Amino acid sequence: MITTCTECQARYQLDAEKIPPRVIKVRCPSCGGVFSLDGSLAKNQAQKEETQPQVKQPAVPEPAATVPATPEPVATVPATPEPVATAPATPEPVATVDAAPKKSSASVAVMDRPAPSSSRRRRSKEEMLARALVSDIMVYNQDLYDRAKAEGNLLEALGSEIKKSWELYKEKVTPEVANSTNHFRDALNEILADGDKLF
Amino acid sequence: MSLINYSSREINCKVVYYGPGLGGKTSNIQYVYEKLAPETKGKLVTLATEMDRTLFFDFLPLELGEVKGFKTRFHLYTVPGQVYYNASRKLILRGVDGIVFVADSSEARFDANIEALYNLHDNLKEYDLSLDDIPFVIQWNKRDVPDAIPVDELNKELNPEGYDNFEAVAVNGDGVFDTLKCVAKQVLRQLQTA
Repeated sequence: MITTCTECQARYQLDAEKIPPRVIKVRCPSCGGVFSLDGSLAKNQAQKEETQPQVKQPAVPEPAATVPATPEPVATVPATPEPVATAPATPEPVATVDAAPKKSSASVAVMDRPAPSSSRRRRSKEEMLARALVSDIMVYNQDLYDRAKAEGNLLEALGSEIKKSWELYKEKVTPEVANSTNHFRDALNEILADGDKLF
Repeated sequence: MSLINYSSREINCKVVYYGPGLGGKTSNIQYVYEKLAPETKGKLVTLATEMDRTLFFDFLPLELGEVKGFKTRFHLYTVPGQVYYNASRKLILRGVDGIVFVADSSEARFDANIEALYNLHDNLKEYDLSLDDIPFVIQWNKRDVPDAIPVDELNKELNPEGYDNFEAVAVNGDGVFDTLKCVAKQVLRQLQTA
C-alpha cells in the first residue's frame, strides 16, 4: 500500500502484510513527523492498488509500517534513483516496472536497515520524560487506547491516566517548568493523537 | 555489595534487570527460571503493583565454581519499568552487584529507553554509585518487532560507552542466557578482584 506523511507529504510504499490490523504510528524518515496509519484498511487499499495498472507490486515485500521506509517518488519517476540522506535503501519508483532490485527477505531488510538518525532529534531531559510518560500511558493501556482512538474519545477514556502522569511530570520537572513549556502537551498530541492538536 | 553467608559458605550476588516498562525484563527472568534445574533454584516470587510487577528468585549456578572457597548464589530481580514506580525501582537497586538493562528495540519506545537510562543513573547516584562501578550489560530486546531500530544505531544513541550488549527476543529465549552469563562473569570477576 502507499501512504503519505501528513507533515511533509512524502509518500512511501509499505507491505500491507506486515502492517498489524489496527491504528499504528509511523515515523517519517524524511521529516521525523509521526502520523497514523489504519492497518485494518491497509489490506483493502493494497488490493485496490493491485488492480490499478500503473502501480506494480514491489519486487519484494517492504518492511512494516513503523520501520523507516524509503520515500517513494510517485508522481514523478526519476530516470535514476536519487539518494536520500536519511533513507537507507534505493528509492523505488512506484510507477515503473523496472524498480531497482531489493533484498529478498523482508525480515532481513528490517534488521539491516539503518535508522534515520537525523530524524530522531536530541531532546531535552524534560521532553524525554514527558514522552516516556505518555508512551507508558499508551503501552500500558493498549486495548483501551485502541478502542478510544477508534471511537474518538481519547480524552475521556485516558483522562485519569493522563492526569496521573501530568502530576508526576510536574513533580519531577517542577510546576514552573511544566506550566511554562509545552513538552507534555506536545507529547500527548504527537504520541496519543498521532499529531492532531487534540490536547 | 555482595552478602556473604559464612554458615552456608555462599556469596550472594544481586543482579537487577532494569529498563522501560513492558520491555521484556519479566520475560528474561521467567525464561531463565523455566530453564534452570529445580534443585538449583528457589521460588519465583512476584510482587504485583497496580500496573506492574517485580519478580525475584535466587539460584546457585553450579557450573560457575567457587570464589575463594565460597559458592556464588545469584539473586535475580526485575524492577517495575513504568516511569511512575520509581520508589520501587530505587529500593530494588539497593545493594546491587550487577545490572542488565533490557532495552526495547522498537522505535516507539526509544524515548522510554532513554528516560529509563537517565533514571538508572539518577537512582544509582542516590547510592553513591555509577555504572562505572557496577557490572553492566545492555540487552537489545524485541529484535523481532517490525520497527526495531538497528543495533548500531541503538549503540550509538544509548551505548556510546560501549558496554557489553546482546540482541535478544526474550519471549523466545533468544539472547537471554548470553546476557545473563555476561553479567554473571563480570560480577564474578569483580568478586575475585575485591
